[in-house]
Amino acid sequence: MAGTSLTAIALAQFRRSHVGLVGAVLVCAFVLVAALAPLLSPYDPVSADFANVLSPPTRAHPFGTDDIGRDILSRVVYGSRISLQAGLFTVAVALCIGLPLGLVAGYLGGRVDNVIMRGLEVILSFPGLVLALGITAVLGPKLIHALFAIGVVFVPNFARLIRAQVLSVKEHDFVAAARALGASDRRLVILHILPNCLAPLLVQCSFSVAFGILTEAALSFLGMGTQPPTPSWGIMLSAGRGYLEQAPWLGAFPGIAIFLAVLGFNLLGDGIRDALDPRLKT
Amino acid sequence: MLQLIGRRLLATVPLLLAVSVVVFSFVHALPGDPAVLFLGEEATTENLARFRARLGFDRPLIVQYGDWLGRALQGDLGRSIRTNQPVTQAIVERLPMTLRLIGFSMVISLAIAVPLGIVSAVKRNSGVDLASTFFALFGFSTPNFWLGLILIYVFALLLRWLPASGFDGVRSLILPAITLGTALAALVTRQLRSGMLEVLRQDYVRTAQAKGLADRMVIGKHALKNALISVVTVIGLQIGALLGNTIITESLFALPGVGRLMIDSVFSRDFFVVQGVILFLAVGYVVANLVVDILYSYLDPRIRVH
Amino acid sequence: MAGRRRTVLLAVLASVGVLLAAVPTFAQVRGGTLRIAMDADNTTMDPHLSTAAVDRQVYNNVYGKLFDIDAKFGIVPQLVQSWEVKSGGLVYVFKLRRGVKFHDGTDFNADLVKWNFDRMRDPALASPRRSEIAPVKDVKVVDPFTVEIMLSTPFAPFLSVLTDRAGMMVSKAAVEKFKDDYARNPVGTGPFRFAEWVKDDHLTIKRFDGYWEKGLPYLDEVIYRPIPDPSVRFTAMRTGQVDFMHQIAPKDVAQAKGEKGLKVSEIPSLWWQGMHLNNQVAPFNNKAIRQAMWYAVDRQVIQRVAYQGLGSPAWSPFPSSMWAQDTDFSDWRRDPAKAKAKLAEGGMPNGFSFTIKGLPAQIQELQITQAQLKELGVDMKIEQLEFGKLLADLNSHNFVALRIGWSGRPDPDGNAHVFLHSKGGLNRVRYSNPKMDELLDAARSEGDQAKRKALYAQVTRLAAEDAPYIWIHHDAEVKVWGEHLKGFEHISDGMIRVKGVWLEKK
Repeated sequence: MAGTSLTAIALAQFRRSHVGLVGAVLVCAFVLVAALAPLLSPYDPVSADFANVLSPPTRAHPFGTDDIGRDILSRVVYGSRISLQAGLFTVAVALCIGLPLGLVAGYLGGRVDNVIMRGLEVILSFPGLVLALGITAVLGPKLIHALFAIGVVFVPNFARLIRAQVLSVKEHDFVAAARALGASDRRLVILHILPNCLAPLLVQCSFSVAFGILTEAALSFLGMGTQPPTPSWGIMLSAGRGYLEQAPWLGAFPGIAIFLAVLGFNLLGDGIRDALDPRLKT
Repeated sequence: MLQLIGRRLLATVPLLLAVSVVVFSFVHALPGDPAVLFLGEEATTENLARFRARLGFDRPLIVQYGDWLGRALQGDLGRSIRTNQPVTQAIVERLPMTLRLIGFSMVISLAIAVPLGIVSAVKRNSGVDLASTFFALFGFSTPNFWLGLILIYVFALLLRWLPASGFDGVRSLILPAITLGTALAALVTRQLRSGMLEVLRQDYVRTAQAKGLADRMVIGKHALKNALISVVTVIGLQIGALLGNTIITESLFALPGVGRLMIDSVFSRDFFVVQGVILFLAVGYVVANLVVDILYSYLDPRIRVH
Repeated sequence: MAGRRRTVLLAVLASVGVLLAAVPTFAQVRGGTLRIAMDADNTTMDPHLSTAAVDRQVYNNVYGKLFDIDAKFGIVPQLVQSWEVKSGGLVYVFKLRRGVKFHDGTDFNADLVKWNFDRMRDPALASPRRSEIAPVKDVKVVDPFTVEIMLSTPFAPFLSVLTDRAGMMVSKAAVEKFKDDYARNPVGTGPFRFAEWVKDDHLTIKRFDGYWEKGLPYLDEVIYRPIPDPSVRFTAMRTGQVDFMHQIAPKDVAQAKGEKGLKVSEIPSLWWQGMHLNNQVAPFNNKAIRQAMWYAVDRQVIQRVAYQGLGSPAWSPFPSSMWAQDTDFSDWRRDPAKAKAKLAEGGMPNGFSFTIKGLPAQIQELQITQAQLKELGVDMKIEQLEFGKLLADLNSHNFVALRIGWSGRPDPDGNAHVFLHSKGGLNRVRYSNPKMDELLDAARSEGDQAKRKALYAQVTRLAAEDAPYIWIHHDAEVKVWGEHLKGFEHISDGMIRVKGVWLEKK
């Protein structure tokens, strides 16, 4: 067996138990930055300083300034709010639509289940970004439309997850017992079925927040999400594209920010999943 | 086997029909009058009326849908408002570019991921394994448009080794293919590694090892076949993301493919083209999934269609 | 004695020979393919229907014109051999060049000229050229190579108009053969003939061997490639994927100048960049609100930041390259106090909200204006559109505010009349002021330049007062090409004339 050195064991340990921790730290940092944005940004993210356009990182502007003189650090900090909104809103949309659908499909079964699953399959027939882009194109290039579109793309994953959980829990003895005692359907669902779904749901939420942040940035990068002057990381990358050589800092910092936020939620999701089900680990 | 394929194909038909309804409704039934969508809010009532009449928007929706579907089945997806070129022709012109890009990125992606995944599973917890773990993590979390920008900066602008954009031969595809394929490579590496590890842990493998069969033989015959299944699974799951990311990559590298066509037409408010491309991509995606499903059931005898 | 003389003669010949061998050959190289990166694709190949500046680039090499301009805006005859103006500017007699053939082999003669004019003036065609040559009353064929054009009123810019699309001669046989499809099968008398056009990818023209100027052109073919993204376009230039670049982003000019192997030429242009404000729709149907915008826009900051100091601020449709520019007029600088006062006067003291349509390439400039308007309480939203759609929206009055440039014409009338006259062919904002009409009509029929200049000064002031457009900037005319490209003459109209261009063997 290879890799029995001390380093190897340490690495294995780290990977096993610290992945989630690193993720949690990143996510907390991200949420804190978003919450404390006004305190953390030295300048107003949309106020332009025409005398200081495209300035490289300096003491006054640690991340430099963009093409109309706005402070990039402030914009990156405030951009975290947009990304957080993106992650949360898309998951919220997916839950609002997907959760009831999954519950109903799993609980009622039969014809209803069939219809709902077929419907979800239709959504899944579209490549995610294509569907989001299409919906945004029709509704108009605005952040809220982009987030709604991404949320729709997530619905099938959430619905299926809930449905699978419901199906597996439905047959358990304690459910049958409760039903025999006369508990109403609603009570059963809320008190017994839902809590069991929580764990995998949390994992899915974490991954979806990551994906929501990434996709919102992608749509904004393409010009179909946030519109100027809103400081979103995606739109900042798009601006940075034109100044790649003259001012690489325009795109560097927002890119790192997106990466860290997405990584954080992905690791967190990994960590939760590993913690909940040791069999799934490698 | 043939029966399987046949049954699956039959099941796909209603799905495709439903997809066509959704695509049709993009332009026709979603909020807003399609005439206003095309001409804008300040269009005069006569212009709006004339537009509706010209495109047959004043007929009942069912009739419009049937008409549109009928023509779509014959390959007529309407014409671009901007260039008057038939949409189908525009898609067909650009398809080779997109296929080249996707193909090339899969090749690069597998060329990296397969050896990396296998080696990191076999040499668990070694330096290679660590590298592959980081690669898997970072590759998946890096926004591919940022990666593309970095690649352009380093290889095209700084080192001047490769072209930054446009299509001038295979060299132009290297950076875009890496950009597009990295996320896939990351996932395949991870999946392959975990798949291999699982197989390597199995009793029959240990028995074979105990019996003294050469390591390589053991790996070669049993582990790889199962690992292949997991690779196919991942690819199958990622086709959608791949198609979506193609839009971003083609846009970033100015490649004249189908993805770029879509984003360009969105900016031109050329809705017939947008509609046509979405339909095409959705149908392509469904077909690709079907192929993967069939491939999957062929590879894994344990899976049976319900 | 004879032997000595012979020796001297031989010595002289030898030295001349050595000298000739030592002098580097400046001989033009025949052949080669020129690749030009354009900012947008052509919209049509029919000059009588075109409304986009980008079309003119290809036209200048495929179509012969009655006249051309030189670097000093002087009128130079091209398909016309000589001309005469009679009857106080009401009659133009053109003696046409002989031996000119169209790419399809048909002859160019007086009948063709008349036919072209008739086509442009035909209401059924709805040609944008029609308003450009509105004063033309009648065209008469005097003999196979002499044409007489009668105007209804003296029209000082007439010859200048004929140096652009209105003077481009189209083959009658081709139009009759292809009818509606002519726009994709163009036939002209230029040094190159149309070969192929793959939309959004490339447009190719090839040398016309029957061109009337013997020995020209040098190039075998020219390929135009539309690359709308300025960074991508510039990268293509730097990496040698193209030999010539049209429209470089101001932020890349300094870099281009510093780059080995590239030549950069910067001269004043005829362009003006500005905002079209829909005069018929709220909020800009209110003059005071338009005036508020006039004082709110900071042309100087825009020039410094968005245009990197290139070009000059614009307060009228007349750039510095034009004699008609009123340099005494100074009431155009940003004045937030005046802007606020105008907002109050217009009944919107707390500002308002509107959407402006523009190109993605202008996003920096638009954001500057957006930030400055925000200080006044005005919320400007930006809608980014692709060029073709932007032009379509402009032409169909589908906008509240629209940001677009005008490539300019050599005669000041060409920069002003079409936009400011109530019957102007490009007056999409639907501005109408009888006093303005009067000034513009007087200026175009007046022959004396000093008097015209005074009239255009009045036009400038009235236009600033009514503010139907907000003129923002006059671009610098910048072209970039590879060092191996020779023979290009850079003229302020921004046209890429490739007739005399050749590529050195690398």
